[in-house]
Amino acid sequence: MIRYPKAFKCRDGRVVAVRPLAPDDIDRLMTFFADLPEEDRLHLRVDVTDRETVKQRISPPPHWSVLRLVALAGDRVVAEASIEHRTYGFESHIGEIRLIVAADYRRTGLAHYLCRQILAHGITENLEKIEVHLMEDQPAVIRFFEKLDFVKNGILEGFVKDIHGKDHNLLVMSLRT
Amino acid sequence: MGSYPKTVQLKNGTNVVIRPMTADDLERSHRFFLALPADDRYMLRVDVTDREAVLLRMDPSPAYDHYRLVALAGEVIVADATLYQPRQGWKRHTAEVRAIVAHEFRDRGLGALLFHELFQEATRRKVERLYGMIMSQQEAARRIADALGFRVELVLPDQRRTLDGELHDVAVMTVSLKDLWRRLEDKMLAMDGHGRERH
Repeated sequence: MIRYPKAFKCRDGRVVAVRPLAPDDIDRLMTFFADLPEEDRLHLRVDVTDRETVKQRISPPPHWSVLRLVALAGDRVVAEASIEHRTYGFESHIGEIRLIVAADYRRTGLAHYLCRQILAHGITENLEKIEVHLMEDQPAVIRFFEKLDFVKNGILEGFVKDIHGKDHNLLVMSLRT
Repeated sequence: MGSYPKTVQLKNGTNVVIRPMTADDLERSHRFFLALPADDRYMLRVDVTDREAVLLRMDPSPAYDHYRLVALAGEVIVADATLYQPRQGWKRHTAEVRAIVAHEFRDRGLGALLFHELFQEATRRKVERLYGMIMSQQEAARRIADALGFRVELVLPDQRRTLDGELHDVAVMTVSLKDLWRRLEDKMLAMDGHGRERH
């Protein structure tokens, strides 16, 4: 089992605390999402400006195991990373990861660190394959995952809609552990 | 939702009743799965010989709305077909279709009838894209999907572990609901009044 909280020193010297999300983080999380540029929120799965939606998003569904980490600078959430997988059935060997970092904490090594944490958790859960699902029009994010040895499996055309209802292609990438 | 129950006549003249699954169908559903050949069961998502797994399958999920129809011959379930649609979020305009037909009721048009019901429900729910996830051994499913205009857009390697422990690739086949209806209408126009292809 991986122990938390941990302290991570970003490349620019700032230190953040990393720990699992707690139920009373909801307000901090809402502030985090509200502060994201709209261009970032467009690429997310749900409308993260809606409190009920965010509450549902962070409630673990039955028969799923979820680890959701937050990085905090003081009391401010600056990143969220998660890995989730089914606990039964023929896809229970696969985990899916998600990662969002506040604009002012990008290119600090934080995204890479959080990814390593959740991948390590996936290994302790005996996951054999890790997937990431993202809109195709995010070249920087795709490059980030390619550097972590994720490979592109393919695209589903028009398979996802952003919060304005516009269609986007869904790219699935995966990594064998 | 369509009006149910409805009685339909299969190609061999047998009548079955189609209706939504209810909580009372647990035992019937379990018997249906126990009666499937082992080769069919091993390709399913969970061990359906386990009653708890069948019960879990019937449980509504917070993330997905599942609309499940069963076909009955008397009191016996002979087919089960489901439309899975995300309740919200970026894939809310998509839905997965799944169907299983009892061995002795195959090749009688029952699968096609059930899919037609699901497509109508998908239309009512404003679904835009349908998809199915098919392993390479599921040849019949692949043929049906091809005939309906589904095409393979993505192959996910080692996506499913069957009950024998083996990993299998899964093809994600998709179709736009608009294109699917157009294709079905073209097929009907190509038939005469007796359901045969015009020449």
